[in-house]
Amino acid sequence: MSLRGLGPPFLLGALLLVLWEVYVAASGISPLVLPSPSRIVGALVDFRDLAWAHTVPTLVETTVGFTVSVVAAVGFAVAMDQVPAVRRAVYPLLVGSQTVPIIAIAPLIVIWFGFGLLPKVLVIVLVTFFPITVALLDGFATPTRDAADLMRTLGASDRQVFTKLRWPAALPSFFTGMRIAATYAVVGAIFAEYVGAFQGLGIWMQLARNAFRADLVFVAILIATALAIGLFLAVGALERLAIPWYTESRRRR
Amino acid sequence: MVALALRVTDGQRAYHRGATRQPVFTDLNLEVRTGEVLALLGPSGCGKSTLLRILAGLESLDHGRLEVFGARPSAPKVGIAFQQPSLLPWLTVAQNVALGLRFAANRAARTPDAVSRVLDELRLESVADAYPAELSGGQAQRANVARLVVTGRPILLLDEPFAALDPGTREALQDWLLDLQRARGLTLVVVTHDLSEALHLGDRVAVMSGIPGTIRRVWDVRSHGGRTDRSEAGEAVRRHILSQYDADPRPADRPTTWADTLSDSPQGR
Repeated sequence: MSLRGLGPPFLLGALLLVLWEVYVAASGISPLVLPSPSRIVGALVDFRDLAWAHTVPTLVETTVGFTVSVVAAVGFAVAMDQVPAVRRAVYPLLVGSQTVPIIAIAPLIVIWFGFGLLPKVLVIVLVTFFPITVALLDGFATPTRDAADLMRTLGASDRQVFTKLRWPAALPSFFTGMRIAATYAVVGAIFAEYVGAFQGLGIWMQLARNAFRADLVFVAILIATALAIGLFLAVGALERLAIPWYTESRRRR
Repeated sequence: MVALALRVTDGQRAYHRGATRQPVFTDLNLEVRTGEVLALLGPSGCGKSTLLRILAGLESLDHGRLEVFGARPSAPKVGIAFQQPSLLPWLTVAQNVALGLRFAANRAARTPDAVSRVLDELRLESVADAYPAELSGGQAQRANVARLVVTGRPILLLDEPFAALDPGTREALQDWLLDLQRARGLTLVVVTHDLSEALHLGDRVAVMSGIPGTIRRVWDVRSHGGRTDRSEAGEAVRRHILSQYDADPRPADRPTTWADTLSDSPQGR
């Protein structure tokens, strides 16, 4: 996004914040119910050490979970693409896994695997694995039959048709899936902490709420949002590095 | 006797959908002479593209025989290009052209300057570093053909290669293709549904018709006195081809007649 492209979202955000601030001041609503933006920023500054202590675990969980999810998704998508039997067997389960309410399964995962890193990673994988896998599978189907046939008549083996044609052709779709998944990953981490953790933004939100510190709940939300946007932008940056031919052509359009 | 590049004897091919068997062509006999341009003419759906895919080794005959240079097809001798160039968008033109050389089948054609020589010869050197998205339709189709030429295949099959191009570009590319064919002594089979294009490109024009399709006759355009359909001889060939079409027993359910196809095309009158 260019500097000029950043203008509109910043303006809109600023306008909403001003409205919020004015409403809190004018209505005299209790800060226990709705703190003003200025109060939230003040709380962030006052509690920066605590905020940092809770941010680091969430960041670690998100990064590890997202990485595991991407690696697993690539493995599954390639296996499903190459072996039709695997695709037929796994695809319905994959779709089914998305209908399991995470709110029901997450506490069980904590019971099974404890309060460490593993259950968080599992929850993140559960919520991010699906969009990445499906996007990659769709991406493999991008090349036309003609394109694959042309490769074959040029002497390419099935493996070469995959590595030289279908894999690179799938990358734009793969990155789209990853960008969607990136925003889910932070939510997944926070949710997993919510059900059972010693530290992290999810736990902090819970503690703050129980202490009637709405301002600190908002601080945690603010940080979580920043993490999600950061991860989203990081995937975007990676995309520009990995497939410049695609990001270039998209910009021209 | 002229050596044959391709020969199909009593070819039969059908598609099977469940229990139903839909014949594509039957009793098909075709000879393509080494070093000639054979235009394969026929309306949509008569099995031209299937025949081309079989000649390229992408599909096989149900019955009958295919010979490449008098033998069963073995080493890669045949290259095929489709209407859509399907260049890989993440590679430059030079990299696209070089792609085929990375496969073991084309090891013999792998020389350090193979790509740059072909780019020069096919007048693509100015766009060597461009990506396919930056090319015009004509440039893309030339790059597509360059991919085949660089591998040194003596026989090229082109499936309606210029159908998607504007008339000016199409004419320029037709001449470009004939120059290339003469310079390299290539054998070309060009599928088209445009009679003018068939007469312009072909040394001979094979007319495929009917459902299931078959080739009833092959016209020697050159011995009829010239390639251009505007010449008197060209008109004669055109009339002959059209009369053969009209005499053709057509199934009643076929919606488009050959004459309809011609009146749709700007060059066919």
